Amino acid sequence: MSTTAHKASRAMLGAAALSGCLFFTAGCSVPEAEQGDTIKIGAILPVTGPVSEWGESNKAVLEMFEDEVNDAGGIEGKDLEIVVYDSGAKPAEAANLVRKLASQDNVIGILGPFTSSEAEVAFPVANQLKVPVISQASSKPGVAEQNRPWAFRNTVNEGAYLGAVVPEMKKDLGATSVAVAYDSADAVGTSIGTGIMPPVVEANGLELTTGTSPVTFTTTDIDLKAQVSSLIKTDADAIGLGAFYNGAGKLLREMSSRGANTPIFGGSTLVSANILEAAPKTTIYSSGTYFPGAEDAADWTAEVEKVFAEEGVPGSPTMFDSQVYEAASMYVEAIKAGDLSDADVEAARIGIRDFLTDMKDFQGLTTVISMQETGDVSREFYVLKGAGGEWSVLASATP
Amino acid sequence: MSVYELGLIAQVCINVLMGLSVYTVLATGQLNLGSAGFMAVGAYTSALASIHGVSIAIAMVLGVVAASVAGLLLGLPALRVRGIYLAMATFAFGVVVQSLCLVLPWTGQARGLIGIPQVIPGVLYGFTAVAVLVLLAVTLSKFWLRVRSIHDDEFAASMAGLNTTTVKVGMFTLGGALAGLAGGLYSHWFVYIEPGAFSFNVSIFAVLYVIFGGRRSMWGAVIGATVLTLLPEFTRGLDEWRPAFVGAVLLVILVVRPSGILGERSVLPKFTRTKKEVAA
Repeated sequence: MSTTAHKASRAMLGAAALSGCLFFTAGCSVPEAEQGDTIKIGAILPVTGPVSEWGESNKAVLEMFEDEVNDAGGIEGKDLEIVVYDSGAKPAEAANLVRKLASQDNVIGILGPFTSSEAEVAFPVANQLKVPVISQASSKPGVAEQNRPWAFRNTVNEGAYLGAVVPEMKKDLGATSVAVAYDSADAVGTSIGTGIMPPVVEANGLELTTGTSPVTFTTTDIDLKAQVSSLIKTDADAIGLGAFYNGAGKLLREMSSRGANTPIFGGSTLVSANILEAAPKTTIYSSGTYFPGAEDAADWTAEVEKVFAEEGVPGSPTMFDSQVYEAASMYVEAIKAGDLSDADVEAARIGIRDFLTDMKDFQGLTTVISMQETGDVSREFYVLKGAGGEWSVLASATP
Repeated sequence: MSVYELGLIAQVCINVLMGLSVYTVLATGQLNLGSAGFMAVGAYTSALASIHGVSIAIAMVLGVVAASVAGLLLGLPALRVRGIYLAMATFAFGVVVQSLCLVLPWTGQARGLIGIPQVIPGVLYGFTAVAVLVLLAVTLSKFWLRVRSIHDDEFAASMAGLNTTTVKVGMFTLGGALAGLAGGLYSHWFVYIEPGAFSFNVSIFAVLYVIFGGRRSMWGAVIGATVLTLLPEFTRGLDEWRPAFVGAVLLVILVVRPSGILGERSVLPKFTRTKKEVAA
C-alpha cells in the first residue's frame, strides 16, 4: 500500500476511533456529589448582548442578595455562593450553561435564563438533568408548562397581564377601538400580537381596526414610517403593542415625530423608564409585579439603588430585578424549610423542586406568591399607567 | 466526561460542519455568506419531518437533501455572477430564508418550533464523523484537484477543458448539504428552533472558522471552529471582558498570521499527488 493511502487510512481510522470513544462516553450521567462548605446556586444572566442592561442589574442584585444572606450568618451556618455565568442572551449558550452548572459546579438550583428563547432550550436540559430552574423574565405562554416538573418561572403569563390591562385601559380612556402592532422578530412580541391580544381585545367589546392583519415591525427596521402611517390611518383610540420597550420605543419616537400621541397598551414588556422618555407625551398602559415607585417595596428599592450607585449600574431597579431577587429568596427558603443544607446535591435538588411545586403564599417583595401546576407563579400584580415620565398604579389584579 | 463537556463537543460538531460548509464553497474561490440559510433549511425540514412522525435519522437525511437542493438552486447563479456579487447573492439568500421563517405559518414564525425529538450525543458525533470522513474522501480524490484548479485559476482550468460551472455548482450543493446537516443536528440537539438561531452572525462566524483556521485545508475549518467554539468557554473567568478578549485574539491571529492557524500550507498535496505527479 502506498504512503498516501497509509496516511489517509490512518486519518480515517483515527477519526472513526475518536467518534467511537465519544459515542460510548455519550451516555455518562451526572455523578453524585456532596454540597461541601458552601451552598451553591447558579445564575444564567445576559450580562452581554442585546438585553445586557437587564443582565447587569440582575447580577448586581444577586451579589447584593448573596451579601445579605452571608452577612446574616448564611444558610444554617453555610455560606451562600451564587455562581453567575453570562449567556449573552444566546439560547445555545444558555443550554450549555445549564449543563455546566448542573454537572461541573454542582449547584442545587439555577436562576434564569432570562429570555423565553433561552428558556425554550435551557428548560428541557434542566428537566433531563433534574435540576430546578427558575426564570425571572420569560413570559411567553407555556414555556414552563412544557417542561414539568423541574422548570419554573417567577413571572406572570402575558395573557394574564393583558387580560387585566385592556379593561382598565378601556375604562380610563373610554376607548371603543384599538389597533395592534407587534415585533415580528421577537417570540414574545409575536405571541402577544397574534395569539393573546386579538381575543382579549374582542372579549372586551373593542373594535379591532387592524382586523386580522396587525401591523408588524422589527427592532432592526431602520425606517418605521410605513408602519406608523398604517397605524395612524386606522384612527384607533389606542394601539396595542407586542414588543419589548426598546423596539416599542423606536416606534413611539417615530409616532411622536409625526405628532401622533395615540395611547399605547401592552404587557409587562413595556415596563421601562426608557419608554416614557422615548415618548413623553404618550400615555402608556402596562402591567408588572413591581415598579420603582411601589410602596410595598420602598426599602428594597432604596437598598438596590444604593448598590447600583456604588457599582455604576445605571437607572432604577426593574421588575426583573425584583423577580430574580424573589426567586433567589425562594431557593434559600426551600433549603431552610427542607433542612437541605447538609443533603447531597441530588437530594437538595429534589427537595427544592418539591418546595417550589407546592409553594403557597410565599412572601415576595410586593405580594404573596403561589406556584401553579403550569410552573408559572400566581400572584397579584399592578396595572400601570405611564404618563409625564412616571409610572403610577391604575389597579391591582390577580390572574 | 461530564454532560457539559459532551454538550460542548456537540456544539463543536455543529460548528465544524458549518465551517466545512463554507470551506467547500471557498475551495472553488467563492465566498458563501448565506450558510445560515442552508442551516435553517436543514433544521426546519428535519424538525418538521420528525415532529410529523418521521424517524430522526430519516428526518435529518431529508434536511440534508432539502439544503442540498437549495445549494444547487443557489449555485446556479454562479454561471452569471462571481466574487463580491456572488457573496452578496448568498447573503441575500440567508436573509430571505430567515425572513421566510418569520412569516411562514408552519415554521412557528418568531415563536419557533417546539416538540422536536432529541438525539443522543453519540448519534450527533456519529453523523459529524461520517460527514467529515465523506468530505475527507472527496478532498483525497482526483476531483478535488479540479476544485483547486478553479480556485487557483478558473480561466486556465476552463481552457484546459474543465467544466468549471458544474464543479462550482457541485461544491455549492455539497456546502448546502453540510450546513443542512448542521441545521438538522442543531434542531435535534437543542429541541427548539426559531428564526433568530439562523441570523447573519451565524454565517459570518462560519466564514471566520475557515479564515481563522486556514482556508487551504479542510482541517483549517475544523481547527477554526473548534478553537472559536471552545475559547469563549475557557475564558468565562473574564466575565464581561470575554467577548473583547476573544475579539482581540481573533484580531491578533489575523494580523500576525493572515492566512490562518494552518497558514497557506495545504496538506492536500501530501495525500493526493503521486510521486510521478510531484516529479512532473
